[in-house]
Amino acid sequence: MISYRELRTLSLDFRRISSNLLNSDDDNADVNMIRFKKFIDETPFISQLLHNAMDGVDYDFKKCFLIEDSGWHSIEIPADEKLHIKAQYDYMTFIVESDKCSVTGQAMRFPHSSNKWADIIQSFISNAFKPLIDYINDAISKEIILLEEEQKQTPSMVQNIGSVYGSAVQGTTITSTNVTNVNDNEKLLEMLGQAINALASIDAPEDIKADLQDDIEVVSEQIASPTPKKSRLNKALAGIKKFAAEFGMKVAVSTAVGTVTGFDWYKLIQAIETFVDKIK
Amino acid sequence: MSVEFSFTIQGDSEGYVTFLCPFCGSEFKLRADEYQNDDKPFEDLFCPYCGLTKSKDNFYSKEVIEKVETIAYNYMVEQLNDAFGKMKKSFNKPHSIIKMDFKPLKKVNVKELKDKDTIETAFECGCCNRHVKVLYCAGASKVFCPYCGVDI
Repeated sequence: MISYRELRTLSLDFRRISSNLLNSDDDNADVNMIRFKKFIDETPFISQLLHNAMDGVDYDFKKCFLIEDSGWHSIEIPADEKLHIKAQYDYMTFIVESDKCSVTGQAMRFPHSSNKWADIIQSFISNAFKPLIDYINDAISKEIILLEEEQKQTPSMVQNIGSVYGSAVQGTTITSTNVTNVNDNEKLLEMLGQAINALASIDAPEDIKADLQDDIEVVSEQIASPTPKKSRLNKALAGIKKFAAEFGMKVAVSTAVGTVTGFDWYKLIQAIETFVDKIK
Repeated sequence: MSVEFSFTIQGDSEGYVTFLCPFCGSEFKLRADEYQNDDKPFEDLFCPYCGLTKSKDNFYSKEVIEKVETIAYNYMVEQLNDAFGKMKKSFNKPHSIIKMDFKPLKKVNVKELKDKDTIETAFECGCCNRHVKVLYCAGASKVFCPYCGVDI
């Protein structure tokens, strides 16, 4: 899948190469069309887009571009957009691959009012191929918009379990951003394993410790699952939170005992919450 | 022989002047001080709506082109009236057997160009920090920087 950054670059490249084609004159029209055709064929996103539009469409471009009459050539645009896209693509292929055809030669056969070569060529390219350019351009822009929307919906990414970055504004508000890499599920699983080990050192009734262990194991299962269930995670998380609230002091004491048994339950809760928030 | 004319366009209350895309025919506004900034010269403009690019001379609005044509027409009228006035004088000397008369052509009124405040939204490009005003519908369209072409 193409990334947001790649798509933005592709958009700029495509608009530049399309503009070059639309601004062609008799010196560079053929080269610009060859470059344009090569670009759309060799760029996977555009190539796939055109394949999606054209595959299975059986249409002769000469029904759209009436180029076999001895008089002036003309364009009869089909109502179906897919037929039009295919006709434009095939006509462009015809011009690019034919030894006898040139863009200027084709342009001169269509009715024109100007006596300048550049105007005649630009008018022809605009009339014949601008809808194809607009179709691709719009598809790229739509994809960028969709990716932007997705980025807005995704909660801010976190890095590094165990690290809390924050900033404080003296005297007014304290803003804290807990940065935890929930993408790194292995680290979260590792934390859950450490939590189970830390249970032994906590001075709490055995049944409560057993419930907590169950909750931690549920969280571990869900994190390891390809399709984690939010409801199960929330239920287990509620159990862990309840434990932390009721035995906060004892947990704090166990943390203070030493680095071997010390475990930060609150960081674990934050990391699980961030993971849950990411599930749609 | 070439003749140069200059004229001014009054921008809207924020100093924006209207331009027109030669590809899609959409209007947008650019800040006059940024457009005329010699420290950041540019040759081409991108349409903020369709994103296609062409030499900046192709982006003048219809009103600007009309005004240029009117100024050029008036200059032509002035030159013709002057030439024919001199010719008339030389023909119509006392005792001349040929008399000449002509009706001077009238000049066309040149409108002052002034951009009104409209409902467009102003955007600043994160890349070049220059500004553009466009009709924008959030989530339904992309806006491209007219100077550097990146999507804003």
